[in-house]
Parts: sequence; structure tokens; C-alpha cells
Amino acid sequence: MNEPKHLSQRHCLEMFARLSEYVDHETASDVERRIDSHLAHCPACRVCLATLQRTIALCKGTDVARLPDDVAQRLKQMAQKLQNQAGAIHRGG
Amino acid sequence: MTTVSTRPPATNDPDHELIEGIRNGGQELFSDLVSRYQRALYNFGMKMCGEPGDAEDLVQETFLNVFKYLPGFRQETKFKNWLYRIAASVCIKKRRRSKFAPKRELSLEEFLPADEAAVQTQVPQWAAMPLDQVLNEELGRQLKTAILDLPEKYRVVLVLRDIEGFSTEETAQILNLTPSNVKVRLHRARLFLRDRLRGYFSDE
Repeated sequence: MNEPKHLSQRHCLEMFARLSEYVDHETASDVERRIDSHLAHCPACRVCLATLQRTIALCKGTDVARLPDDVAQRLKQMAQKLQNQAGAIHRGG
Repeated sequence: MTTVSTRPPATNDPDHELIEGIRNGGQELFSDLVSRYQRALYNFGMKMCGEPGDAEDLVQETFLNVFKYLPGFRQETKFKNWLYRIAASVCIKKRRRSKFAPKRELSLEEFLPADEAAVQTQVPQWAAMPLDQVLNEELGRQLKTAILDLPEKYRVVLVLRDIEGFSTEETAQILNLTPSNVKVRLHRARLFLRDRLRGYFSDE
């Protein structure tokens, strides 16, 4: 069976350029329909889509950096210092 | 940081009350503002800079600027968006001073398969199996390194959109870009990471 020549075809290239917009549901409805119908017939573009979606999911799943206690303490001190300075200016009129 | 705008104040801003309190002389509330955002900003700093010391500097400098410019904040945008605008600008200035800042353009063409033989028609295992079976500590480290290897203008868009969860519109506002520019940069950043992940899994 002859597979379509992936990415040498206009629809594959359009798909490739707009894949993130498509995943994020930010394409116009006519473009979305065109991509949907292309995907139904192009296994290579379905692989592109699956690997991109997985990349995004992995990014979203990266762990949040924990704020070290000593950094939190220094930030608290900085905020208090700023508050005190502003308070003194305020009181001084 | 103070921009003249005719936009009406942002409605439904969860920080509105706290910000108004500080602006109306309640300086003691500034600590609450710092507590509210210090974790998120530190995480942003770590994703953008990779080093704990740089991330701490970023958080400190951002809050110093917030304190300085808060009286001029016109609330035409949500406070959180304004805060990240300051953080992104601190980060970019910091990196400009660094001789190590990688600066290059990513083109769409470089992510196209080299030839027909490189085209895959089967979804690889790392993209097909359940997410929790793929994501582990080692992969997390690889991904963090790949994010740091992104040229900064792409990294900041990816971090704001896919890690911090800002919308395209908000990211455009934070970075002073057009929404279509945000979309282009985000797509190239994702393709860059996808290639790195593909490389990682093919070496396994």
C-alpha cells in the first residue's frame, strides 16, 4: 500500500505548522475541520500529534521547585524591612 | 513598569483587595503578598535560570520592583500578570548580562524529518503508554535540562504557557508580544523539547 509522502504534501506541512494551535483549540473552526479530516487519513501526522501531546503533558507534569526554608526566611525579612521603611516615611509625613 | 493605558481596571482579580489594602497605606500587608507568590515565582526562577541562587535573586528583585512600582500599578491587568511581567523582565535583563545566554532562532524546518525514511508511522512507546509510567525522576531531570537549553525567548513562552498555565493572551500581555508571536514561539519550543525527548528515548 502506498503511504502518502509525508511532509512533502501541502496538508502535512500545514498540519505540522499548526499542530500546537490545534492541540490548544486555538485554530479557526474551518482549519480544525481540515486538520481533523487530514489526521483521519495520515498515520505519520497522527504520530506527530501524539508525540507533541505527550511532550506537552510531560512539561505540565514536571515537579514544582520547592522553596527552601532559608530563602523563605530571607524573603520575609526583606518584606518586613520594606514595610518598616515605608511605614517610617508614611509616619514622617 | 508604569504604562499609560485607557483600559479599564481588570475585573475579578483575586488580588484586588490585597493590592488596594497595600496602596491605601497598609504596608504591613506586603508580607502577605510575598507569601502568596514566593513559591510560584521561585519555581518560575528555577525553570528559567536552573540555579537556586539565581532563582532567589529573581524573586527578590521582582518583589523589590513590585514594592517600588505598586503605587503606579493601574490595575488594567490582573496583578499576577503584572507580577510575571516584572519577573520576566528581571530575568531577561539578568541573562543579557550573562555571557552564557544562548541566543539563536529556532526555525520550523529544523524540526521536519530529514527525509521520508525518518518519518514514523507508529506512535512510539513513550507517547503511547500511560503518562505515569513514563514520567520518572530521570526523565524529569532530562526535561529540565532541555528546557534550560531552549533559547530564552522560546523558554520564557514555554514556561509561562505550559508550566505556569497562562493563556496565549495573558502570555502576550506579559511579554509584550502579539498572540500570534506567542503561538509561533510556543510551537517551536515544544518541537525542540519533543526532539530532545525522542533522542532520549531512542538512546535508552
